[in-house]
Amino acid sequence: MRLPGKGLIDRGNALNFHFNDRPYIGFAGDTLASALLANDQILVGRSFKYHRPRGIMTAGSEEPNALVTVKRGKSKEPNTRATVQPLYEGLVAQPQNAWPSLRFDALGINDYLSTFLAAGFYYKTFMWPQPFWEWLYEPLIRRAAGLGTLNMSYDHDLYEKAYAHCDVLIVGAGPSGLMAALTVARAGLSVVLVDENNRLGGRLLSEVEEVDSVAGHVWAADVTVELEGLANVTIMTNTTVTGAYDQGTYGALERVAHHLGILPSGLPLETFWRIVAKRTILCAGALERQIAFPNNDRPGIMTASGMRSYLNQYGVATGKKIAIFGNNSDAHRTARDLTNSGVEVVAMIDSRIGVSAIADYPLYAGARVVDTSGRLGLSAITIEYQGKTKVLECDALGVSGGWNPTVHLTCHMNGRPVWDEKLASFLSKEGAIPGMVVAGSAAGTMNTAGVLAEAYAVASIVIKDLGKSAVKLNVPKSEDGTYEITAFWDVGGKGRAWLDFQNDVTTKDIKQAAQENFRSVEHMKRYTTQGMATDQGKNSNVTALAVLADATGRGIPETGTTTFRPPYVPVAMAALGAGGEGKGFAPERFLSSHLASQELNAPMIEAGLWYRPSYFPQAGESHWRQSCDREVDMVRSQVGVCDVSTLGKIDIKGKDAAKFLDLLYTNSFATLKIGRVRYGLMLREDGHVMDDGTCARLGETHYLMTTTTAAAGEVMRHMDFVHQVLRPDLDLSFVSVTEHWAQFAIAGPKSREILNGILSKKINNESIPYMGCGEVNLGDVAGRLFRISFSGEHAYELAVPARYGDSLFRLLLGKAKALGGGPYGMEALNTLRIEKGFITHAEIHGRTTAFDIGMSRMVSAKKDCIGKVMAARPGMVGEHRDQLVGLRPLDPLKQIISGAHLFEVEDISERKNDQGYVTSMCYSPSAKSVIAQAFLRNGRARLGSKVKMVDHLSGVETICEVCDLVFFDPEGGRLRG
Amino acid sequence: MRIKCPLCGSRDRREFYYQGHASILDRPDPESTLETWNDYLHNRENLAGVTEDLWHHEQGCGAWLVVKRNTVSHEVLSARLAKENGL
Amino acid sequence: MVDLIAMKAVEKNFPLKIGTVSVEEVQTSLFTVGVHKKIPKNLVTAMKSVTGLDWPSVRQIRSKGSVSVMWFDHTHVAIMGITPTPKLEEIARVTDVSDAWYIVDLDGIDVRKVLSRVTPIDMRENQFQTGITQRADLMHMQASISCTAEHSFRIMVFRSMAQTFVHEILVAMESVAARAEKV
Repeated sequence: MRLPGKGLIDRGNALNFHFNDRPYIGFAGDTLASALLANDQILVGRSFKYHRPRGIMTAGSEEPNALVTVKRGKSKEPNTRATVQPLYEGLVAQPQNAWPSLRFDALGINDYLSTFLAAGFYYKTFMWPQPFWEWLYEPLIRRAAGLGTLNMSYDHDLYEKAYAHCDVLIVGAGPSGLMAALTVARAGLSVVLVDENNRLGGRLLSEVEEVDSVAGHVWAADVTVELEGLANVTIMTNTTVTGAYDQGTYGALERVAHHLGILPSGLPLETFWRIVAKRTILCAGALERQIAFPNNDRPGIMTASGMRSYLNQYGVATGKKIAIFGNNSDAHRTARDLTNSGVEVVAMIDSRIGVSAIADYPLYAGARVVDTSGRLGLSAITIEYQGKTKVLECDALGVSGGWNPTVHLTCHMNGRPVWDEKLASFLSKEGAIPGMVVAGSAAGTMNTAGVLAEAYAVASIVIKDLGKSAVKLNVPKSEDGTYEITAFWDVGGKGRAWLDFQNDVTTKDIKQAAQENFRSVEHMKRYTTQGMATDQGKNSNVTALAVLADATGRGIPETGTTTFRPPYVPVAMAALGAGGEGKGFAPERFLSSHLASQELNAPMIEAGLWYRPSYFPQAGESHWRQSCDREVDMVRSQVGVCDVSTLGKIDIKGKDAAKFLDLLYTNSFATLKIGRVRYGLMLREDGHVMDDGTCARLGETHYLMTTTTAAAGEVMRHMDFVHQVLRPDLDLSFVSVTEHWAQFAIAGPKSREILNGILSKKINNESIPYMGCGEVNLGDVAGRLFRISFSGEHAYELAVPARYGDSLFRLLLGKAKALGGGPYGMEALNTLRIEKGFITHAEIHGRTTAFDIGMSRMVSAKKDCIGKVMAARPGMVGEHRDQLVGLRPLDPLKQIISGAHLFEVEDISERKNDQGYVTSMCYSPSAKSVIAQAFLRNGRARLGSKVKMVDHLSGVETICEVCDLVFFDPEGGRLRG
Repeated sequence: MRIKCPLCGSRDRREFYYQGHASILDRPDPESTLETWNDYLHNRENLAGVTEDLWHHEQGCGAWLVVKRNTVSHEVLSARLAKENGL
Repeated sequence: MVDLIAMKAVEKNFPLKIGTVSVEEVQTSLFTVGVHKKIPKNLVTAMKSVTGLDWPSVRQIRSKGSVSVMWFDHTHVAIMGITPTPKLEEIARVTDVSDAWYIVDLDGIDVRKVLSRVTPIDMRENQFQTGITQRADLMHMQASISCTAEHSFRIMVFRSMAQTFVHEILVAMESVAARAEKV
């Protein structure tokens, strides 16, 4: 019920919304929860296990009950807490966990079966008969489990990530946060002030006490205006700090657009921030907890402070006849404020004795609530007072079991909170998070005057810590009452008393866990699911462990708490992973010839981050093999052009360049002549092959190394490592020029003919012999030419600055076409190299040595190199090694499958008989046969023998002949052409 | 986690590549015994407490750093260039 | 004679402006100068005579007109906007990387907000001032980011990733602009 004239809502701005398919009206400034309460919609959902009717319990992000699904356009967000969902025009929300309807829920039957569904019931009940698990129990549980339902279609909302840096991060903008922000900001430090709500002030918005002789919310608004005017202050509203991480890094979830019905284009729904701060002041306040008493979960029962928030901030009375039950002085404020607002308070039930009322309401001191009634909403409570029970009619009950300082963030790096007997609460341990200090009620200070003074003092220390001088500020006058509490957790009695409302955990479950010897608080949690709901037990954990402590005969400090882990509030996966979808997952790298290849309808294949053409289909070709076979024939008989720019290219200069390369490569580069290229092999220090490639000597102290596409980044890092870490004495510099040069392979008998049609100066076998290189000109453009071949044909690689890549590719294609040639893609490239026995990272996959691939002789005996010692250790060389060989099926068209294993023909094809595996295969148009490369136990000694290839996945078996690696032109005559 | 690169300043962990313990700085002589090499390559103390390891500022200046940190408290105590000087 | 035509890495009509921030492609030359340990005195002199600019200190960019010298990484400085003389090439390890990098200028009041969405580095005005250049991660890409004026930055990423880069920057620009307009 809305009260006239009360609250901070904008009554001139009425908003229409729907809940459970019914229309309602609220006001700007309302949350969905306050608007529902204003409309006397007390029942908002069903609990998870027993499907008990539930109402709104809190006024904040700790809400366990009021989870709803908000629909906006195409999107549907389940498990939205109504207490933090700002109201907007046209909002549509649905209750969850209720079928067929909120008022009548079929699974409410669980409530009557609760005797059988106590803690651990599924561990015990669904154990036997065992086959039932798969077809009956699991599907049944899965259907019933889970909160809300996912929108199974693609999530069209935008989520974003962002970074912020500051001197001081202030978490929470209640009285302490505002005071701390003001103090730090005036000292000239950069401040990020974060608050969960869309308006700063925290509890000041919910209380009637004055600050600096004005209403608390007015003071908060004034401070907000000042802070907004300071360039060194960033205020982040609707933002929750979710986790504390190393070196002052914090995660924070900003709900950017949840208050909007329609999202403007480009605006993210949420932003996940990484905030880096030199210092952090935690001003997160405190959360009110429940008291366990029979049937304490009926709609209409909520926290006493929540009730006060709805009254003072939203002008809503949550009932017509209200009772309050508490164990502390703060609960009386709710009774007082309701009374002063003209709402009938039927009883203030205080478990303490010898206390007095602070306003005109009936007080029952030394009393307790022992039961409640009302199925879909509270109708009466039973109290025990002076040895007698008494039924009081009421439709709302505010409960306060005391306040828990919000210490969650201080525990995110394994800090354990410390029990404070006087507060009957846990407080953070000092220094639990390096750089973080705690102020205000989060530090256990429970009156506004104390909170403000403490925030000022803490902020002043932080300012000095950061080398600035604190500014003198007058701490405003405000309420300085004392918070008095006598711990009281569990009323006891016969009925079920709820602790974790969302997961339906009762005191009985905790006691049962203790009885079954789940005495550790962590075991109890997992056995009962206490605190494992989306609210993570924010208002139930402390009470639950007090009950456990009692049941196990220990004190609360010995019992301890469960571990608080990030995130503090639920975070959507979409927000956590924001920026990581689409291109944000990994950059796309495109060749300068990309467009031209697309115009030729070449399908692209991903090679690392690169997109490379697979093949270039021609009219009449319907299968990639047709294109590939044609392209192979084309290269072998005429000429082909392929973009090979993806290979890593590293420019190395300096007087010790040769020495450096000799350390990196197994073979020598000091002996390489200028204008020549040499194939090189690189090992890891453990003796396995890291990479291979060519390296050209362009000058006395100038080399150009190429790496494979796959290992370009790894090799660059390795070179940095070898130079900076192992041999900083060597005088050289190197830089990646991969991206500077567009480089094209021109391969085939007619390759030189093409080049001589475009190079300014013609070449011949003398000017550019096999494995020669040199500078060339193409008109005005200077390029580089290398006579190297990965196809076994007379071939070149021609490089020009990348901006000319597109133009050169088109030019080369034109020239090639005139000679009966054309472009070839990755499939043909792969076939060409397998035919020639050349290797790729399918073979040098990290577990093979130079010996294994038949390149022992490339490891120079005359010098040291990375990996040389370890490559020679026992076990790395010998007959037991799987050695690289060629394979061909006896029937040339039988399948060979990469990854398939090899066995002796007569052996059973099982693991213990394993003889090796296939690494690469293709159909060779040149050999008119399927051919393959494989690692075979002592393979080089087995040439000519037969092995059985078995692919257990597809059930294919093929008898193959072991043969030489080189299937085509073994003498290499074509290379030298 | 953040590391203070001597060249770039305090940077997010995502910019760095982790290699392993800084003992890898002392590459044995090629003539050393296999046991020495085996220790160099494979055996680590794995102490709970202060340790030094190598990180590569791959998404930044490209420098290899020797980072001293505490594996228990996660404190990063210092970072220096492996080659000890640089631009 | 063969006449090769230069192509841009991204086919878009620059400059593009969204909200307060605009992005413009930069066509310029870029050469790295490698220095392993000590910076030779004659190199400093030669650089000055070629560019008219003093040797940059770590994370510094110096500019005069369209010519800049900038710290580039732990072992390189870079010269932008001018071709080094053969004499400089004689005494220094100069490498032409003009085509390796895709270069844009970002300008506008909200430019730091835009960049805060793509790079984890500290974009605060008092931390990233005019004349500072940094190497940093930018949406998984190795980037060079230089502050050329209070609200102006020059960003460089590898050429092959230019399309991804432009896409990510435009998304961030749209987001920042949409925030400025939201109710």
